[in-house]
Amino acid sequence: MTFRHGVAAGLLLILSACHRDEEKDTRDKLRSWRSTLELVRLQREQHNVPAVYAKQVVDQAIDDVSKEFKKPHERATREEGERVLALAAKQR
Amino acid sequence: MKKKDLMNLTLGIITSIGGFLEVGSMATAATAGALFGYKLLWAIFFSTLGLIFLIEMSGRFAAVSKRALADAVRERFGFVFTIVPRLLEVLVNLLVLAAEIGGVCLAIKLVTGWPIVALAIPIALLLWLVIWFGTLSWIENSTAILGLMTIAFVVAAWKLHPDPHELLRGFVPSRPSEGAAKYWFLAVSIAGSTISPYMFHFYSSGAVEEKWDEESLTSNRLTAIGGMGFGCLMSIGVLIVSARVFLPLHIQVDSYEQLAVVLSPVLGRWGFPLFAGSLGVCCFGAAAELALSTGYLIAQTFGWNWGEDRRPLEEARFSATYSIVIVLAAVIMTTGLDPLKLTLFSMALTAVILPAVIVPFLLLVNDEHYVGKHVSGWIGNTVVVIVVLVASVIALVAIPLELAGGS
Repeated sequence: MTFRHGVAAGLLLILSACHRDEEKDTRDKLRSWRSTLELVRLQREQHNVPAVYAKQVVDQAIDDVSKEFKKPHERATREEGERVLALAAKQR
Repeated sequence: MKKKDLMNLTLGIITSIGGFLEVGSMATAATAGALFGYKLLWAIFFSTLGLIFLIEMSGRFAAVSKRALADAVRERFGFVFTIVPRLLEVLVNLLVLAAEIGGVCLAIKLVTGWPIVALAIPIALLLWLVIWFGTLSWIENSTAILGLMTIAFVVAAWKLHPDPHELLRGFVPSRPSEGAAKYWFLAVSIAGSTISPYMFHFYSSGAVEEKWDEESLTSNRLTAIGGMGFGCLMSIGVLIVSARVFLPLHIQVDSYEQLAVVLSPVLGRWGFPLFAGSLGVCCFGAAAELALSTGYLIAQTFGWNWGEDRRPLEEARFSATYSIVIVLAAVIMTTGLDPLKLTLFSMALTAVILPAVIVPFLLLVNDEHYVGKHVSGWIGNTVVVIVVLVASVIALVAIPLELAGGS
């Protein structure tokens, strides 16, 4: 095996170790936004954060989740996305 | 130590603590805590250790040789050798400055709802006015003393009662069970945000402006250890609060809007204003230091006159340089770039360029021609070389993986 082959094999190993699972990334992101929306709603109810901030979080969540809808995703992921969007719309 | 010296030392340490946190350290520590709990505490610790040595060396060098770093590098190695690393440094400074201006805009946006794109130019103008009309010590002290509100993160971390055993485990480097690319990318971003070359250029230029001499060496050492050491506690505080508040809820910090609620569950009504205030003040202070540091860097590289404490028109090229840099950074922010992504990326890039900046610096602080008997010891040299090399090697691997979307 030449040095070049060794480097290529090493890079492939690193890349495979860091394999990207897009579906999981999206599910994590949706779960993150759902929790954020719930946390901000709770803090808003306790008057710990102003309405102007809560609105920005909702807008950002809608923006971020809507971007995910432009990509092809599994049905379960899309349904979860719709639930997060519905939650955001309710808090608007 | 005289009473006046003690006062100066205390002020130096306080300003270092208050000026430690900025948009980079806040974003990287918070993201690290939210995604990996305490597992990246070691990155903050080792980077701070490297920074303490570098700050001490740059202050010592300026006090003994009466020269600022970039000035001496040009003099010792020549303009041709200097120009490439300096260009890289200026480019990275520009990105970081844009991120800092973005941080100030974001703090205002959180409170008012006004868009970042509309705020970037007015904030840049305010920054320019402060630098144009202010003096070095006024800028340094006022922003840093206001920046002490970042102690809120340490108070919040204390109130959250983190498990000490788990905390201690975080100081030992470990491999993550998943998300390796993100983990290493965050580790180098933390290193880049902590060991920012602009900090020691600013520090050494400030030491020359304030006419430090060999009598300043003790206070320089204490400021570096005390200021940076306690400053590091602020970053650790951010990481702990983020790990305790966000990690159990699976909130990953994808935007600053998510981050802004982090103190509220712990500090109640004080949480949100303290977060927005900390972000705004720290970013403004860091932006002022960055703009000045870039001005110093360019002026010293070309051998121009420089000095924040002189009248701007007397140092026209120096003043023009920082003015242009501020305008360019503001323009970058008006393009609508995601401030969080810009911050994390520019911090990781900082880690890549570290060897190009640090190696000539290390040679100088070990050159008796400049520092006489005050050359650096082997412990400092070794720590700096290891931290810088490890950070830049990891950065070279982690940045392409992160850009390729590794998880």
